[in-house]
Amino acid sequence: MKLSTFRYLWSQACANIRRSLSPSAAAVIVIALIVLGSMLAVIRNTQSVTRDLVMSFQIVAYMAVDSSARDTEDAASSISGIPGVVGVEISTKEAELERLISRFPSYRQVISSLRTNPLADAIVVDLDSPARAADVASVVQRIDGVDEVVYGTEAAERLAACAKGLGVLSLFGTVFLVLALSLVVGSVVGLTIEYREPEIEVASLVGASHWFIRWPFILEAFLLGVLAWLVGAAVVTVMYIPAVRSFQEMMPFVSFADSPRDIAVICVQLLAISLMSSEAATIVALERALASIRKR
Amino acid sequence: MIRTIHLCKKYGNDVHALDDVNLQIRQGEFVFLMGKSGAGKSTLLGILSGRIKPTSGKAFVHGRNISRAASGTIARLRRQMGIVVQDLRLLERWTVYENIAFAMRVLERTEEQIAKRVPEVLESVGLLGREGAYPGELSGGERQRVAIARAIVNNPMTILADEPVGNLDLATAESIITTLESINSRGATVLVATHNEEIVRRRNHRVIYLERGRLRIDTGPRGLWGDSV
Repeated sequence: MKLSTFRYLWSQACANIRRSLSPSAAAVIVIALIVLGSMLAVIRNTQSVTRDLVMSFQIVAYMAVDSSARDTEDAASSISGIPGVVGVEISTKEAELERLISRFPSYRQVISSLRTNPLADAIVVDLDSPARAADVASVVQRIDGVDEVVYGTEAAERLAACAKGLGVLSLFGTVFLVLALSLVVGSVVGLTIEYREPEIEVASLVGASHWFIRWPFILEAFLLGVLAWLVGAAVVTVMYIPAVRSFQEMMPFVSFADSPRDIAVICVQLLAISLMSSEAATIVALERALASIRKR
Repeated sequence: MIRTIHLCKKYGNDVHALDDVNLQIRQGEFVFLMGKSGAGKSTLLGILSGRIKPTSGKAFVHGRNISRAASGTIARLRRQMGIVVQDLRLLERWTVYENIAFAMRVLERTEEQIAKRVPEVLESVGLLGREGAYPGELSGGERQRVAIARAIVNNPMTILADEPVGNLDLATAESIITTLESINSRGATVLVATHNEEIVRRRNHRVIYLERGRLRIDTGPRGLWGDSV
């Protein structure tokens, strides 16, 4: 394609954005992008919170009462080599006793009157995923000197299922919204193509190539996607920061996705969705219109 | 050159728009295609321009069988043709200049070439000075001229015009046919579908007469009055 032709097609696309039904299509995309952006923000924050909970999941291995400090260190060393273990910390029997006393201060005198410390050393194990808890625990249980392994089985399973379910839900939600957006945009773009059918017919009559006919619409869809994204992303960004801040104030112990990187990721996702849906909707509507024109 | 071999077109089961039409038109001929409404004139022009697929038979334009050509080939063939359709298909939102320039833009002509050629064509069809007007502001004859100007702007080898003088007064119709004749004199093949007998009788061009889809009369290249064209 010659540069002059591309310039002409580009100018046509810009002019059509102003004069056809494209502003209506842009408005539809903007609204859809705001809804989609809000959903992406919710998904991203839920993922962030779940990730935090998952990352903080631990199991505790209690050593036998008669095991020595050396036995505990050896066991900790063995545990740290197990796949899925991201951190190991030894809590000595003395530390465990202090913890017990601080937890039950009214029994301080009773506990202090004991001649020997009845508690055992404990090894706190951090995992990369709660889904691994059962497997890791069974391996830890077989290590010499380990008496008992404790972890919240139910909580671990729920957390793992929750994280997995959320991932699937997000994927389906996003796919559904993108399809719905494409459908709505397709209908509006279909109207703009219908409005310009005479141009397509004349272009075809004078021997225009496939691409000469398609390019103005493809460029128009690109412009439409970018313009709608600019407005949609701006609205989502402006709404996002105060919303996350107010949630952060309500729940300071939870870490929300509030970094500039998080906002940038949402905006990039919105741009991709906006361009893909406007281009896909345009191409489908255009091919339908061309097929119907060819039959006449 | 245009050639059809056993060309048939049926609409539905019973309507024979064209029935076994065989004809050959040499490059540079001026041919009137005549017949009553429904005789098959528009169908024949539609097949020759690649807008209608025949039921059977072949239609060759510039050596290619357009009736079986892919859409890309049809587009390339149309760039060597000037097509004037019955309803003209002028773009009402564009000026006369833009309507004509559009046919050149499709062929990726530069702005300089367009700026030079469009006024030339407007002058040849007698519309110089009307380039800024919109089709809605033009008379019937002027609209026909814009359609002809769009068809000839790329110097096509063949012009297919479907009723270019329909519903026009005799004087206007004469001037439009004269315009087409001047294009023909430069070597283009011109095929004009019309039922204006007065216009046809005043000239000595080849006449092909269709009746209910069948070719009834073909005067041949010697023309209506038998003289050499």
